[in-house]
Amino acid sequence: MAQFHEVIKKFNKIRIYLKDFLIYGYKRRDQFQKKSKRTYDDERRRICSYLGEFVRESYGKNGKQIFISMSTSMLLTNPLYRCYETKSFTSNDIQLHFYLLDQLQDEEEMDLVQISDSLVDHYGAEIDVQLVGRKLKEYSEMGIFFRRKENNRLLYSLVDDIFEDFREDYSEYEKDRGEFLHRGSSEKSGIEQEESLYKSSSEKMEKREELELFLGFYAMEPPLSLIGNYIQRSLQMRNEWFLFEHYFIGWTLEEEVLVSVLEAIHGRRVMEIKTFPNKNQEVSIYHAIPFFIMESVQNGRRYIAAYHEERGQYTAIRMDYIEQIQVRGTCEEYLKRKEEALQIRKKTWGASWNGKEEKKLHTLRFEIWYEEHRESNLYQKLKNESRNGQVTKKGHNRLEFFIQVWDPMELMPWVRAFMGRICELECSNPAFLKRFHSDLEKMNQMYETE
Amino acid sequence: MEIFHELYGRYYQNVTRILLETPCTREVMEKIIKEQGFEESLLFLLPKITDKAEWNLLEKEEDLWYSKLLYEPYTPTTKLERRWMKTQLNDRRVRLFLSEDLREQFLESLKEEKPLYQESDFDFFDRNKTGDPYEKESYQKAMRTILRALYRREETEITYQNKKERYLPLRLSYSMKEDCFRLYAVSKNQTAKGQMTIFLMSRVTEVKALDGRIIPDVDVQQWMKERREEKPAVVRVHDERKALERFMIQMTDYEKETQEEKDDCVCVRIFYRPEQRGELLERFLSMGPMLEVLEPQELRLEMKKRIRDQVRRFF
Repeated sequence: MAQFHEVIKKFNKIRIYLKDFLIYGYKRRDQFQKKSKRTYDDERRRICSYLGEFVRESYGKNGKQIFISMSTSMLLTNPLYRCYETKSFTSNDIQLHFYLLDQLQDEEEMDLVQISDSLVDHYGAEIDVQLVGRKLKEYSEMGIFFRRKENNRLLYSLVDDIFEDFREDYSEYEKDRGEFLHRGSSEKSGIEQEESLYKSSSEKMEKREELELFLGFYAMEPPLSLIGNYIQRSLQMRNEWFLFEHYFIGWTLEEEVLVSVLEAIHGRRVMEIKTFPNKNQEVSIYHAIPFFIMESVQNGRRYIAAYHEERGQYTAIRMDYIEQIQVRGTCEEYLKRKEEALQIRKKTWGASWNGKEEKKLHTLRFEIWYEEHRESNLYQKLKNESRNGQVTKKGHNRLEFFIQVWDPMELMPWVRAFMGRICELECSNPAFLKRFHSDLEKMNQMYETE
Repeated sequence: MEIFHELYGRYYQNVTRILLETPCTREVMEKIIKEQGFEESLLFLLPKITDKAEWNLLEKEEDLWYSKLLYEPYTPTTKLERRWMKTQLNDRRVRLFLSEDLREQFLESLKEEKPLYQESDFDFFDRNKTGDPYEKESYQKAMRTILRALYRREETEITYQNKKERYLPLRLSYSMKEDCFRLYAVSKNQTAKGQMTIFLMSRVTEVKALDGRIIPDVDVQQWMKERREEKPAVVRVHDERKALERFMIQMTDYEKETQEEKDDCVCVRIFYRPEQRGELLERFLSMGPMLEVLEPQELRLEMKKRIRDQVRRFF
């Protein structure tokens, strides 16, 4: 029986479980199809080890269920980052990591032979020279070492540390900060309370303070804030000040996919996409040319605006359905395709691009009632949320919204949010009106409003 | 470029920490792993680090463990991290956080790096059209004073809608949808009553840093938790037209508990604060007939009223 390990080789091993525990959280162990119960137990054990108090259990009618749930608007740190701190490695990996960094701090430049010899001399470590060479190459490609050729030798040195000024003895820093904050929070006497002076506005912040605030914010804000968190932790910094509303934490699970998409976009290359199994356990593999990433801050989904080669159509691909991406060759027609995609995007509400196939633009118009004097913020709200539509004041207490789009059905959820205020509703696609009225009737019955 | 790599991993971080603490006892190593590792890390990590045949980074002399390295280790910065930094240094809000000196210093040291991504690579298609005025000098000045006060736990005099008062800033909340900042702050009178003020930073006219402290600290986390409505919202969601997936993804920013009722139906309990009620109502309405609000009664009645008003407007 294979031994359990806390760390993992590939992130995707836990990704599908994390996604399910986070988004649904009501599946039982036996409902994870095509995975053995042993696999479920191992992955659940790992996730509990990584996420601790954020993993909860409950007992429904159908048995025990595991879920991850948190109010993300109250978080100072993103707990899902911990799941990325879990890559497995060999003994040689970790030894070479510390030895090589140590040696290159000691000497300005060394070649492979010098380094190999020094490992034996200084640490008593006899590591195969090929493995040493591979690690040097790996760390050079990661930008940790600088590599240059001189005659027939490759010489290695440390890349300049851009954070050198910010690496302090952490225990000393914590002690200083604690004293500073304690001084700041001590209460003054009654007389002094009323005679407080303004601080000089020219008093500057220390560079470390500024960087810690900068990282406190950007190491939380998507996209790819995980990378900021890596920097933050390496400098022993943390966020104590910033909270985030509409923080869809599930995005964190897609960082590997996102890095590959960006590589394809900047290289003007084709992606080979492999999806997760669907409900019928079918996996799709197809090719697409990506142009940009569409992020919804209202519904938490992320899409790749792309040209689907097999289908021959422009589309927005759900990123959370993608298991992995391989970046393939360059696309000769990239700029032409991108321009076409941008033109289509001008007339989409969101991620529904398929209406373009009909080659017909639809119009949607509605008017809502509001109390102009008491609800002026509603006018501002409608304007702010109107995207590529237009908002006009129509006489007393009325606001009109008008838009031309490929697929008006996509506006349905947003239009419903104005339920109770809609005075007029018109759409050139009769299916929209039919759906709206039929849904209203069903809701009417559901709440027994008559 | 790999974003999932052992270099960024917790085990490497723990070992770095331990090496920095040497010479140290085994108890110190255990404490570091317990505090900074995963829940089961002590089981896996300690045997590896203390066994010369395994990782060979420490050696024991009497009761103390010594590092075999010549220098203090540190976690090096990778190209991926430098490229990420370059991107953030060009963000439209960066001047709220960094002085121009520091920003220029970093840009100079990163001049050979390409940004990891550009603003044009991302389309936040349903974000509000207008956010906070990040370019406005008075806004930047107010924000930087608030940020300094937050960091140093200083009190400030805040001018808001023509009123001036002394506050202790506690948290800055950024809304991804509205592209704006809100400040959570407390005045002396409010602390006794368990109250707090939430300011829209775009409407703050002026902020001045003050000397001395007269307002006690508040545990914001606790305050937010206590502020939650006693009764969570309870909704039933039907899995038609992919509504269930849409709703569950949309609600990942709220704490919730879900129970399966039948094959195509779940019951979700959602915990929320009073200021989130309006937004919740909109999310529930947008789901149409695929969602039914069961509790609390006030929320169900509000849904009922909106539907009834709509039916009357049409007929």
